[in-house]
Amino acid sequence: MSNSNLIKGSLQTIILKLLEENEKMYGYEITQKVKELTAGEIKITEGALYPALHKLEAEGLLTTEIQQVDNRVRKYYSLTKDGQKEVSSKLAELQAFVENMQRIINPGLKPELGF
Amino acid sequence: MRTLSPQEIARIDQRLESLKIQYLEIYHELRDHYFTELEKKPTEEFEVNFQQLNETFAWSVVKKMEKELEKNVSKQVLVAQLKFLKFWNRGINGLLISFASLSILVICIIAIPASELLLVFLAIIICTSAGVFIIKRDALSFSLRHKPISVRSTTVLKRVGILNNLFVWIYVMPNIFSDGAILTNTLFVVGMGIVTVFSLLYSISLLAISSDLSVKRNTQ
Repeated sequence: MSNSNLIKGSLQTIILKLLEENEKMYGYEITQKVKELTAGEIKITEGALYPALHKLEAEGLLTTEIQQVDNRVRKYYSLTKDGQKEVSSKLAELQAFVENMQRIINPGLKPELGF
Repeated sequence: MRTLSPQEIARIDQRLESLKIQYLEIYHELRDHYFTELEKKPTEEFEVNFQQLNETFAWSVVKKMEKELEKNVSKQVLVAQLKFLKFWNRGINGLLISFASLSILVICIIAIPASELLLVFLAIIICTSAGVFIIKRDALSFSLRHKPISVRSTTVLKRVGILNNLFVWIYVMPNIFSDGAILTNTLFVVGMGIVTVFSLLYSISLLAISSDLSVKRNTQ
């Protein structure tokens, strides 16, 4: 599955979940991690990733820190306390959505999904 | 992973310069993205990967990113200002100090003659501009060459501009059109007093949040 429209709605949840598992990450690292976890099936577009990161930062869910790495500046993102609280609610929201989609696509199937 | 050659670095910098990136925040993220991606690829694949990155970060994509960033930071600044102004959230001591300060401020404004309010307003704008300029010097670039600037600093400076507009349209224009006669109108003078108190609180909140909006630096 590589439909960017489907991914768009879940992008914030993906970012929050990855940052919950990894203390701090930078933009490029997030794209690579998603590619790695999904064996290249999901590719996050950079044009959507960075605005999503900036939005989460503006909402106070992420905090940033810059580091000089070799000959450039790198911006790391990590979860704030509010961000940590938001992860579980976003995941529950996504899980409920996936379960509902399963019911629509496969009415006879009882979904047993878990994150 | 390899180290990019000076020529390759120059190509990246030329490309980023051609995009006329407005904000430092985007410039640094894109530069790091280019470097990290290209460092992973062998030298002979540089050109292909470089072109792919140029397509990923095309002019329209970058400009859209800039607009989104402006919108998000503007929201962030507003939220920070409102949080600062909500003095009732600062416990009993904060509440008392804020109430006392506000009362003194209102008394001072009432004591000032209507004709002098203009000077008070002007002083607020000058002090805020100077204060924000000292704290957020990275919002301005006097270089003739294009140079990215900080979006947070720019947003704060833009808000000082709002104060200027408020001053011109609410105070100066009616004064000019009425040839000063409006200063004898009690309703106008009371309105001006209220506006001056609010503009002062707005300025204080801008100055207070200016230093809080900086990104943490971690040198390794």
